[in-house]
Amino acid sequence: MWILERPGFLLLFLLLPPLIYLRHFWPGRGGRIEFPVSLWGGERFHGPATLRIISIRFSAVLFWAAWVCLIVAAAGPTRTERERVYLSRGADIMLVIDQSASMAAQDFQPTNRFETARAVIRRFIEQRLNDHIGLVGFSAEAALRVPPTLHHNHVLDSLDSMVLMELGDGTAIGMGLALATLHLQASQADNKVIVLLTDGVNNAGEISPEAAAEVAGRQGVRIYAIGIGSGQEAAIEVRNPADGQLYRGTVRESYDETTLNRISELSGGTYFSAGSAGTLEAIFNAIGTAEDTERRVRVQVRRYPYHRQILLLALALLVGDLVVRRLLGGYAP
Amino acid sequence: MTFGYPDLLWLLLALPVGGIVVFFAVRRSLRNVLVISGDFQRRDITNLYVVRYFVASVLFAGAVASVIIAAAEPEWGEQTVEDDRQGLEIVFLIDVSNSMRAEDVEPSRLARARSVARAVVTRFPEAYTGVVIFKGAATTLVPMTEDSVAFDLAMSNLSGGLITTAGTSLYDGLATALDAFPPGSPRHQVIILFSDGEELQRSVDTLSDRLRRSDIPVLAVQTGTSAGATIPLSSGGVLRDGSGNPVVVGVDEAVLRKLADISKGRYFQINDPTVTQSIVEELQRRIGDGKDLLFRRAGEDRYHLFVLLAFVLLTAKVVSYSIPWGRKKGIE
Repeated sequence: MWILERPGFLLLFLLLPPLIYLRHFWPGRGGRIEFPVSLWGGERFHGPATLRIISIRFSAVLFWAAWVCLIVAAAGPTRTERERVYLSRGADIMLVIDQSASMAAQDFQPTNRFETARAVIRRFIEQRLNDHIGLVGFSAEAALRVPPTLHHNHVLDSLDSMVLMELGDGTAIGMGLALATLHLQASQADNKVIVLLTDGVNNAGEISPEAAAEVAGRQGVRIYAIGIGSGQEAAIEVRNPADGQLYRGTVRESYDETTLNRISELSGGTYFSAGSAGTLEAIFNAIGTAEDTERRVRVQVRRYPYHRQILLLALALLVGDLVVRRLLGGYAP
Repeated sequence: MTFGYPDLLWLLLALPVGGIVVFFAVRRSLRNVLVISGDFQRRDITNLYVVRYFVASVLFAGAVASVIIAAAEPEWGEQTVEDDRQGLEIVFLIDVSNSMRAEDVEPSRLARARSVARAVVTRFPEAYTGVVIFKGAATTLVPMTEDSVAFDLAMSNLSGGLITTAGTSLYDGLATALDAFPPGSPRHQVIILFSDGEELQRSVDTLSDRLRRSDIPVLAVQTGTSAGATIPLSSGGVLRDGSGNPVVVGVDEAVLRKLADISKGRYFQINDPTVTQSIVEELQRRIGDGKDLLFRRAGEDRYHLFVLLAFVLLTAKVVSYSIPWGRKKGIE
């Protein structure tokens, strides 16, 4: 939206018609030599429309355009942008995503478990404007991808760049939870949450899921544990990024419901079972609703003044006036 | 009086040149008129020319000068501005180019920058921090976060090898650092830049407008010494140019000082033993105690007064030009 900081200056436009009349149309104006002769009963002499005459008229246009620019600049043209400032703190949410090979199982349409989860998580992040969101990936090892941040574009970029099996082959649920808890340690948020998404059984890492969940619970971090998979045999196709080898086959193994339940209980969270893409979407909606915090918002107006650009234009027009008048019009100053 | 864009004032030097051009133009014009009018009114016509065109030229030159001064955004006096921001967001913008490996400060420019950054963060445990590094390109190593573990991790792994594009693009670094602040933040925002000031690619001048508008001060910490130093290689020896001479990297104070000036920040030198304390005090001064509403003094922009002056001068020029000064004597 555009506004004027000092709109009163626009009243100066009232001077424009009399000044143009005075300078260009008033019969008594000075600065010219009149020829007091004309054809009897005919019109007065008019000069031909030479380049010089055209230049002088054009220079007058430049001059008055500069004059107009000065009034506009003095009025303070400013572009304003409204932005929402959240005065209340949202939740801190760490997304802990399984990147093991089994996540490539094609029992979730249109592609596989991992791609479905990625799409659902993307939509979830886009709705959580006031929540700090972080991302941890795990398979044989766990790695922090993004610490909790309001810079959600960064999280989304990192989510898009996640590749199955890039952290080896295995399922280190405990390590993933421990790492996420560590990065929530400094959080001042009232609501600290880990959303764990896995389709396997913990079979790697030095920390058990239960131990990690207990530590999380002691730190006030709730864990929403989501088991993903239809429980049916599913085709799997995954390329190992380490050696480029393509693996094809079927997978039957399912997540460990008991452990996921226990993890949630120990931390005061909830366990969910996602057997289809629709269920997974519904689960994330439920988590979103559960973690909704009171939002106190202030609208802040940012101002971007543009008078300087208009002044530079006015300057160019004035110099243009002088140059055209002098060089092409052959006029005195 | 201070100026937001002092470089524009150099344009005022063009006015005397314009004055000389106009002087010769008037002289030639006067000669032409005298050829038409003859010698019998020579003195009157000459006087008229001097009055009309001298006055008009002075008014025009005055107007142009006023527009230049207005565009340079003069400020004087101060106004009290309410500042309800609380808390602090710091983006550490760190140069990881080859020149930062120089060891003219102990143990090296980069290692010293790392330890100063860590020491500053320790003093503000509740601050949000982000880390942006730059070389030939820039990247956000840590987005703005409260997570001090992530900050520590990034600092431990800081090295030139994180970016493969060779060169030093302070421009890219600064642009990425400005983007690293989340929109709509209720906190104070500061960029702490660690660099030796080398600018091998695009000039940061092109960012000055954005920097000014962002209201984010840059605390620019110059990481080298003016004597400069060679660049040690990990394989032993030092970096050499094509002729086999050791490459000696110095510092460019001017770029860093300018960034600090434009953004209303401050300039520091890393080999000053009190640099950490000075940065901490500067940050504390800016954020207050975080409990009460702050009132800060801000320069008052006065550009419109000069625009008004230019407007009046141009209008006066139109009027002076249009008045038939010599009508009573039969000439106009």
